Amino acid sequence: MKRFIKTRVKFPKILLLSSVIALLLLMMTPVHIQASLSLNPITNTTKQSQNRLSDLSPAQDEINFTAQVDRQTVYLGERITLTLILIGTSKSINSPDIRTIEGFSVTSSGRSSQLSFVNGKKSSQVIFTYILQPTHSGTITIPPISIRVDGNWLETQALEIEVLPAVEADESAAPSDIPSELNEKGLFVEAELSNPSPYLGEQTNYIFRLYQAVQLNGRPELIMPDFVGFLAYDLSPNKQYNLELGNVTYLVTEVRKALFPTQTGNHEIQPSSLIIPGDFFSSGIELQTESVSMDVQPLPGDAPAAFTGAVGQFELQSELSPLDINTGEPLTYKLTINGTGNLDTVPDATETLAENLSDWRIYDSSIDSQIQQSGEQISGKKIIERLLVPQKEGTFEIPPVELVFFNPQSELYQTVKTKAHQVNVLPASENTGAGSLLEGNKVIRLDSDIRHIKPAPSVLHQNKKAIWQMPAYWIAWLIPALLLAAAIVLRNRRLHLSNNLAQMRSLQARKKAFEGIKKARRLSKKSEQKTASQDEIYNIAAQTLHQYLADKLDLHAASLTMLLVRSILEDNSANPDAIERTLNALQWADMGRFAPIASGRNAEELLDDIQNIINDLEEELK
Amino acid sequence: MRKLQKCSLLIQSFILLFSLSACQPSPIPADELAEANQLYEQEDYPSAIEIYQTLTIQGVDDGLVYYNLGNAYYKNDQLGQAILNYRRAERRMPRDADVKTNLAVAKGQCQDQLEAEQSLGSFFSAVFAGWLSLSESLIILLIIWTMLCLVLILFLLSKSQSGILRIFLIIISLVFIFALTSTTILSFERLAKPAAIVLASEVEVKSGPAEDYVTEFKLHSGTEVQMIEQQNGWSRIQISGDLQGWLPTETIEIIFMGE
Repeated sequence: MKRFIKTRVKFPKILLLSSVIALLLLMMTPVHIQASLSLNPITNTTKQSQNRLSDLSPAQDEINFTAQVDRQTVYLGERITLTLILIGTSKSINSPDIRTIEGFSVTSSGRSSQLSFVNGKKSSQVIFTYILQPTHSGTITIPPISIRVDGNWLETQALEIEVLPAVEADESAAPSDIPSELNEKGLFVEAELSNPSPYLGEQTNYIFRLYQAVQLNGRPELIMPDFVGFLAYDLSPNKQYNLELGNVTYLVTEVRKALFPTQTGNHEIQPSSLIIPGDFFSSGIELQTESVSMDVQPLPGDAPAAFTGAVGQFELQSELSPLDINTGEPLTYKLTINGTGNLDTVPDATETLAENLSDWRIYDSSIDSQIQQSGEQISGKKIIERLLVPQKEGTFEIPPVELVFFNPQSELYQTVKTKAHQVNVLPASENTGAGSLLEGNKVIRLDSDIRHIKPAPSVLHQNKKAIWQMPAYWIAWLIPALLLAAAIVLRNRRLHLSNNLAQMRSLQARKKAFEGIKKARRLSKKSEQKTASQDEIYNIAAQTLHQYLADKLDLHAASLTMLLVRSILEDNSANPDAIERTLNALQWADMGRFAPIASGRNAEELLDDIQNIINDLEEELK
Repeated sequence: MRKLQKCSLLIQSFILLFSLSACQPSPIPADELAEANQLYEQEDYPSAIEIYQTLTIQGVDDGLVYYNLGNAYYKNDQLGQAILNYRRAERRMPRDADVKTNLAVAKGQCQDQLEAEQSLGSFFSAVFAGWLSLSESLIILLIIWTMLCLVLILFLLSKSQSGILRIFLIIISLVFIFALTSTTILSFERLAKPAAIVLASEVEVKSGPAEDYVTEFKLHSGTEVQMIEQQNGWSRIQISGDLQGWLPTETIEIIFMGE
């Protein structure tokens, strides 16, 4: 039976598993069906789109025609390059109409085209290059230039060029002696310093120029010397412009470096070299500049004591926040040094704060330098931040911070100062405590006091005994304990009884017997006239007494005989009188069963007698 | 089972009766308190103190009176008395934020700043004293005990001793053991070493119970000490750590005489 139940239990599990699998399969199959269904439409659309692609003529594609110039400001006599770029098509292009350009002499410098395929899409680009030389100064507008593509006219935007009067300086910057052999090749280099005799720490630019009148093969490689004794910064981007020397127009490329001398005296800057890779027909060329020399002058001797070597032109700005603070909370002092020159030589000017604010705790500063390039000058910003923590309350003045630097322009030492700041320091707030570095807005506690008294309630509690002084409390502890003890006794009794059937029989014997007597009495009341039922009463009475004795003596009721009852009762040392009465009652009951009329005694009497006997025996047979 | 229900009903009714008897309020009109409060508002602190004091002597047992009395003492620059009464208020209203705040403010102004003691007793004090009064923890302990007994009875008499009942029994036993331990330690701490507050502005702590012993250290008003024993008008006290000594009993006052 058990095994059968087990298999029945297992069965739903298998059912569940298989149903889950079935469900999964069901969920998957529609996907398959859908996928196979949707295959065809997809191929159809691809075909359509392919068709559509081939239908498209290039003219319907985006065609873009733009104009660019290499610079918008030009000196009279210089040239600019105008580039017209046509993107999107490559067939049947006429040259653009440049006859509309006025104020320049225009020379075509060629046409190039590019064709590329990106993601299967063809894209093309046609570039027209023109050299323009202004014929007069002033603002000259290059009008929109039109081009005819596939019968359509496209136009560029207009461009404005500012033409400045010719400057002599530019001409003088050009090298006077051009090496003839290189000049023949249309290629030479030179190196130059913007200031050959700077002060220590003053910026000087090293300029490398490549003059080229021919197209170069490949990408030239520039090797600059190690600038020993200088701090060097790249100045980018490289400049490119056209320059006419003699009757040749050169494209000039300038590469510049900003140098800050760190040592005085005469420095020889080694030559730079440019390596131009060769091609199939010619070998590569290496071009070298001359070496240049620089005489670094020491700074004037009348330097103030506070001077620590900053050269340039600087401004100072200080900020302090907040201006009202609790003792023990931090203030941020922010010093911004702004200017041209080498910021690395600018000292941390906030160091003097520590000397002037002896009552304050001053933390190390954080320095953020940003170096920029403005035109040919290296400039930048240095932001120094310090946390200042007041240790006392009161009003304090944060003294000005100053910076001494040498200005190479005016050749003088200059001192700049920040303004002084007033700080109002309040007593320490209770919550944060001294030394906490929390920032942010919070309620400032000006003073602290105890909390106010509580209002009088309607009634007051009177003195009463503490709970552990009340007997009721300890009695309350006892009750569960007593209940627990009762439960333990009850449980033990139950256990004992279930272990000892004989005792249970014996204990319940009287209860059972009384039930039997009750039944017999009910019967006798019901049938007072009928003799037939008298049999039944005697029968029950006899059975009850037999059963009682059997229960009490732990015997089987059927095996009880008069002799056995007598001997066992005697063994249990029962009262002889009680034994006699028991045996009499047994005899009487048996007689009543078999010869009711002969007995002559009432059944009721017998029942009373039996009841008494049972009560007596209960005492005897304990 | 019916027997069990009877039992639990009996217990419940008993608890109800018991708690009713414990909480029965004995009302005292609060007119005098209102009067004292008014004097306090008028900054007549000594008069206010007098009335509050009278109320406590008359048998008023309300944390509120002790709190107001502490405030009046504080305003009257009697720091020791203020702390004493805040502590008394704290024992009666263990979860009152005002009492806690003012006690902290007053303690912050004590001259003797003692380090918190790190003992098992002080740990339980910190956990319970700030949250439950001793009476409350005793009631809670009784409730846990009753629950434990009921679960045990159920466990003993049920025919199938189910797992849930067993787990519940284990949990409730652990809770009971914890509650019993902590309450015992707490009450032992309070009964064996009653806390007292130094009231004198400065008192010399001697090495023995007489004036001619060596002065070991000095205490100032408001400092909380633990009294170990009393002898001829001198008290042996202990403060945090191993610092012990004797001082005249009249310079201190025990926070709770009843404990």
